[in-house]
Amino acid sequence: MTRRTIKSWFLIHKWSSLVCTLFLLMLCLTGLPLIFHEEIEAVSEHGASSKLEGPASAAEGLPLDSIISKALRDAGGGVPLFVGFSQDNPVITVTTGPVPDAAETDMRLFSYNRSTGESIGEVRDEGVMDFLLQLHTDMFLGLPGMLFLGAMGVLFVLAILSGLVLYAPFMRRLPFGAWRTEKSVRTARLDEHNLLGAVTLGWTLVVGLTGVINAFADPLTDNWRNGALREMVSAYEGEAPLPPTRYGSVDRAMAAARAAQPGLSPQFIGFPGGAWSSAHHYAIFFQGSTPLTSHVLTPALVDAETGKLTDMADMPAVNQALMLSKPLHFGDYGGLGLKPIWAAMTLLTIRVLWTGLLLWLRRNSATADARVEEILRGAALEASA
Amino acid sequence: MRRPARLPPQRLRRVFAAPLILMATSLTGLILGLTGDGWRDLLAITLLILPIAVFTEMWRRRGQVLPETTSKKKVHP
Repeated sequence: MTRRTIKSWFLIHKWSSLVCTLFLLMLCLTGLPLIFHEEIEAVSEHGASSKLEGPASAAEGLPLDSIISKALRDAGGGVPLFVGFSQDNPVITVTTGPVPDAAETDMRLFSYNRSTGESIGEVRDEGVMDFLLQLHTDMFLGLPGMLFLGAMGVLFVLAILSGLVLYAPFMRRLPFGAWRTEKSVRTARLDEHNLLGAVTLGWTLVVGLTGVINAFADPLTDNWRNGALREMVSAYEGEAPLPPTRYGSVDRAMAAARAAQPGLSPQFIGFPGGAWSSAHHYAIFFQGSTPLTSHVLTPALVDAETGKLTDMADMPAVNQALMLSKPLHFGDYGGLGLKPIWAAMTLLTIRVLWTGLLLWLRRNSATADARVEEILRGAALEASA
Repeated sequence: MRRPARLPPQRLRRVFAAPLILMATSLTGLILGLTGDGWRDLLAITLLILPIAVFTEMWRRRGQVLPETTSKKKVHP
């Protein structure tokens, strides 16, 4: 590699890292507690629900229609927007809003025990974990915030790749894992930064890239609704949206969908007019029956008025990729075993970012050529003069 | 002045061997965990712990003088 090539890669590494570092540090620090959100919520109060024993709400329980009317009474009116099922306990949630296409801020979430019909209470987005999640997802800026963090993710991936390129000239005369502490603080820091980058490579690339995919979740869902979904319900083109007063039985719709696809478990229902359905259908999202396909949802569209199945089709590949990227980003698959690994990797990532930041802040000479010289020597300048 | 403990220039393949092996084991672990339960999860966890274990070991050994001739291979500069 020529000095000139190294300099170009160094400048790419420097700027892609500098621009994204502070945001990445925020993402790591908020992501760390989010890894354990289930465990943390289980000990806080509205997590009491997850201790309920009984059959999974996705499988059986009281009629959905009765739970939904109860939620509408508890909300003091409005329309149902979503029903969410649990795969391992009787908890069922109903989201309500003033209108079918209500904004997220106008939605209310009520939680019930589907076995007994008892109310577990309204779930409010005001806990510390909700705050952290919002900060991590969009910094309270909505879609622009999500896309901005997605762009930071792209820069992070660029920083990882350019760092990998610079690893070659720096390590050319050093054995893997070289960590020299006797030369200078800067050389020790360079060695630590290189080693950390090398061992975290696979994980940071996967979590970085899946984070970027997740940042585009909303546009990808809109894309599905305006494309593949529209085709599935093309027979309804031009009809006025179904008013909530004409919504038929959700239980009848569920029975029709289950008859078409026996053996699959529902995860949630999107009501007509919302982001996850057409203007005339209950969209019942089923999860697959294998460990891999359990992360991929397939919608059954049932006419909300007549309760007849219109169509059931896989989501487009890009939406399936989005659904698969979620567990890979969150580390919430593979049981509790993966979570400590996610936490350890996040700590190592924080350390890469921090040592990188210090390497930039405590540089002795400001020129890029001095940095290139360090990379070529595989050591800090002052140590091997 | 003491010469830094350094090797003769190594081939690219050798420089990238350890990082790329660790990347491959990490990716295999991530995918195994996603596609199965039981033994797959256990193997996934083992593979994913590897990079953390390697880092811990190198951290423990930090500051030790590096052997001058880790590489037995003669490489032309």
